[in-house]
Amino acid sequence: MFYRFGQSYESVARLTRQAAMAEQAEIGTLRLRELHGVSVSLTEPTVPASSATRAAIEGAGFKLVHSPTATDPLHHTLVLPKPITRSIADTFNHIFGRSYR
Amino acid sequence: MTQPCCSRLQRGASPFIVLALGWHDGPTTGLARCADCGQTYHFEMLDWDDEQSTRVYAFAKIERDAYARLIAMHDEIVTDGVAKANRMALATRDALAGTFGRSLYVIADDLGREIIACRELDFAGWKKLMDES
Repeated sequence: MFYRFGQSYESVARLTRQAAMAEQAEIGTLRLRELHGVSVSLTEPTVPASSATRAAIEGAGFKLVHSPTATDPLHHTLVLPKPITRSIADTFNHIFGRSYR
Repeated sequence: MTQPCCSRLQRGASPFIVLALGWHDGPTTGLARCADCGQTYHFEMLDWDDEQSTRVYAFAKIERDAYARLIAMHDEIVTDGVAKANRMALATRDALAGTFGRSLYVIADDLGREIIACRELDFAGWKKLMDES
């Protein structure tokens, strides 16, 4: 199961901002670059989070890249298409069980 | 215009060259070096806003040798990222063992670009803060 912090709906603007930040950074111990995506992890958090299976994520057309970090060896990047549309955001939120309010 | 420096840190341009060690939609832990005076730090995120965009970080000074060792380790190109993560976690623990806690607190969206707010707080500062509340 892949976990992502938080449980509320994530807007196009928020996903776009976070994916852009990841794309511009060098992520993790493998020093991965140009990953346009958001953070998920196989590590179960102790804070409120939402989750999805690999099958659901990949079945929805998203790619998962293992991007281990010094503090979370199970960190992954869920790669999002560019640009992120409302439809993509809705699909992303749906598979993580986050509903629009 | 004065070059920003961690010794007179204020709202505005960041003096820090940042390397993220932990990442969750942005740095959660990492290393920072002041571009002006060269002081080296380890930082850790304490909290974030609802958007997980604006983050509060605590900085602890670390020895330059320890910083250099961590940077060198980070720069290694490896295929086993998990083994490297474990090595770096141990090296970070060792680097922090030689320091005496956090004394600098910084709020930023992008630590390497702009400081939103900052405060130096030692034990006396914490005690005063707690006594006032």
